[in-house]
Amino acid sequence: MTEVLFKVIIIGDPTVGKTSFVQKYVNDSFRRDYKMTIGVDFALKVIKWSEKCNIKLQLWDIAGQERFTSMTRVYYKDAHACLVMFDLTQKGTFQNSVKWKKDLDQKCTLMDGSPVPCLLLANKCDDIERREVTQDEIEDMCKEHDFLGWSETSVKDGIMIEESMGFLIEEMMAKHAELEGFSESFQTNTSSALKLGKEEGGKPSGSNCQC
Amino acid sequence: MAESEGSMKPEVLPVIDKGFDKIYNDSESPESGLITHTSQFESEASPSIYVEKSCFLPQNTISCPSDMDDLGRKDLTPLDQRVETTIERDKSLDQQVVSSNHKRHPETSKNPVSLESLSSEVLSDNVRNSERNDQSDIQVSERSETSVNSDICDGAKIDEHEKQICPACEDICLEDFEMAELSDSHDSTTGDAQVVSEESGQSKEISRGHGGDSNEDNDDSFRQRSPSPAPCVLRHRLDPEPPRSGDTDSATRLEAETKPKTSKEIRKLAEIQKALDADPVDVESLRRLAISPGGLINKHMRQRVWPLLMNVNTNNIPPKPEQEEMEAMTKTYNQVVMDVNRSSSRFPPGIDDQVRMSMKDKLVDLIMRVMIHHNGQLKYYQGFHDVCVTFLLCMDEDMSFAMVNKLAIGYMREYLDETMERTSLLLSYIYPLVHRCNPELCEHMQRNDLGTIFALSWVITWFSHVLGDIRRILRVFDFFLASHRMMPVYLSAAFVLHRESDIFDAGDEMGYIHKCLSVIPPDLPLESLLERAGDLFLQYPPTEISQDPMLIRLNNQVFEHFNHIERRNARRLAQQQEASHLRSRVFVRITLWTVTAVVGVAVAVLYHTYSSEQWTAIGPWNSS
Repeated sequence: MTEVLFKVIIIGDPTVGKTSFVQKYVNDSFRRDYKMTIGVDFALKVIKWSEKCNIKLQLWDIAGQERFTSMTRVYYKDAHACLVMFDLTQKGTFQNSVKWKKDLDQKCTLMDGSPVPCLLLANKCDDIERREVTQDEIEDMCKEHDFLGWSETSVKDGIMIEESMGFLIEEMMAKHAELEGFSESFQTNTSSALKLGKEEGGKPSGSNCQC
Repeated sequence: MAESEGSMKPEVLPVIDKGFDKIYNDSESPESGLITHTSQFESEASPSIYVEKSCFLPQNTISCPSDMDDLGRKDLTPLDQRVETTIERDKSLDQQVVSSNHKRHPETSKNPVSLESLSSEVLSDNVRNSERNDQSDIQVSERSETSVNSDICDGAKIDEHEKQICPACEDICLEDFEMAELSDSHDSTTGDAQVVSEESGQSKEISRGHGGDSNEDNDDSFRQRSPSPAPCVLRHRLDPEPPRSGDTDSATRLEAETKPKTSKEIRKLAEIQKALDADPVDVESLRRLAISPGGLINKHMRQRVWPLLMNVNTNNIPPKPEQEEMEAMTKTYNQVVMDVNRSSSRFPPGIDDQVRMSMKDKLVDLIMRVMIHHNGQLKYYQGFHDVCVTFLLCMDEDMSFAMVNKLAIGYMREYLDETMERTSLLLSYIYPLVHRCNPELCEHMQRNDLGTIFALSWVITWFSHVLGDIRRILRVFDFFLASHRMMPVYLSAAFVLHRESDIFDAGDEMGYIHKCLSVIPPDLPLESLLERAGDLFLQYPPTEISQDPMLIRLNNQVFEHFNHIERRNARRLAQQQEASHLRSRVFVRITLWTVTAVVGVAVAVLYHTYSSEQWTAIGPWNSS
């Protein structure tokens, strides 16, 4: 039985639903009045991926307030994937998701230098009346800023939570296999003294980070 | 400064056996740490209008009460205005009258921080101190002036304590509610009165027990405005709350009522009362009582003692700013409303929805009032509202403002900076402290790159974000308000040390350790942790820790980190400027070229026309 550890970070403006998303995904519970996140929160979910493979998913829920980012950016380090979330009922949070993505790309890349795979989540899709962002706009932004993909979600109604995470995990697994090959070939080609990233659970870790 | 530092050598005291009450008998130790700390942080401070060192030295007030007015004035008044206010200091009694008018009719004053109110603030502070001896008498007489309504409501509160909400007087209702919440049931209230009447024979005063005189006015005005049950009118655009199900409050109430008040608590209440009745008020004893187990016991004592601990001026509190003024600070205002919308869990369970909404409304007012009072010099952070709501649950709006305002420029100043740099520096203290007590634990935490972010919400909200139970939060506030400004950091270290085995069990995984620390167990032995924090403070005062090589190393990392961010921001800004500069240069060039070309063409055409005429007229071939 192999065990793979993935670190996923969730970023985005305050009150878009990051903490709710994590709680829904990990504990399958939804509350209306989560306390705000000050700093970072951590959650873990173990997924039986196949007969031979378990995935330990670390979810780092990062506070949305701008003034905390100077302290929370440290947690981008070693991320294998990222979720950028915005609130469909607040256009400002949609525009800011570009900032979050750029911030991430400036700070971190995967070991092979490619950007950290990033999924754009448009939360609160249940609230149709107050919706302020169209699908075309999201599609355009997604293409323009190299997101892996995007999805509308509703944490409240449990829409597209599992599916989005499933998609992200598949992507990480593919990248993982690729990077494993990459790091092996890299290691054989270069001196063994060179250490590549931080070893986690015997597997090469996700990203290099300059923060 | 130099003198104080010279006279106060940090000393390691054999503490544990002496008991924690003894801590502040030795007033030198906390002050020495305090001064060094202040100087260290002040020297790094970004330009700020509050440059007075003395505002960080509340302990001074114990030994020299004559300084109180100065301190109060310095803290509440920006530097530039201070010079002007001092000129008017001598008109004390007249100003006192003016100021009381301010207080009684806050609606009539449209000018929130006028010079007049500032100076009257100063002056009444003088008067207040000179009359401090007669404080209790004043309170009694003021109370006798309160309206009949007030007495009726008081009566209703005590006699019909089963009635949950009295819509006519919100403050009283909350008080009533919280009495159940804080185990201050009917029996205990009368118990208080009995105890104190033995002490001073002022049972009426104690049964109400308000510290701030303005309470009475506010209650009265509220009653006059809304004599019958009315839907609460909100000033701010807050999200409506869904009605909560379950009759949790009656259950809470029942539980509270069956809980007996211990003789220890009754004894302590008497002690607090004695210190309050002393002439002058025995702030030193109050400080000790706030720190010792159980803290200040109930809300009424807190209302009276907290302002004394912080040396807060309870008179002439500047009036609330206008709604438009609050909304003008758009970014902060929106953030505050958003955070307040999410603050429901901070209110006691079972509180009436309408009352909670009204309190949330007041919470927005309170936060914005502090921000506006400092003209945007302070930067709001998420978590500051947790601090504010704690005061609002304990005292009225004006008193809460006075307290929070004092904290904002004193104990919590660093957290309200533009950046998190000074907060990060403070948090670094946790590691050397843990290292002194448990080097292995410290090594384990550092090896896993735990950082200090786990303690961020502890420190910047004074644990009010994580402790949950309002009784525990108020207890911690008693402790912090009576202690040194660094105490939240010492308590954080005590929390970490307490969770030693859990941290080791979490293994070599930063996430697990973080998770383990961020969940506060419900059976946390809070009193013993407070005691531990106090002991740590005495054993390793901030002066000593600030010299610790580990702290210096950590702080250098923090400096480097923030310098890096600053440099990057500066670079980005420079690039943007460069780009815009380049754009403007290109524009200028293109314009120049265009103009040159146009002029050139024009000249050529003119020349051509002119010369061709000349040509025909005086062509060489013609002349020849």
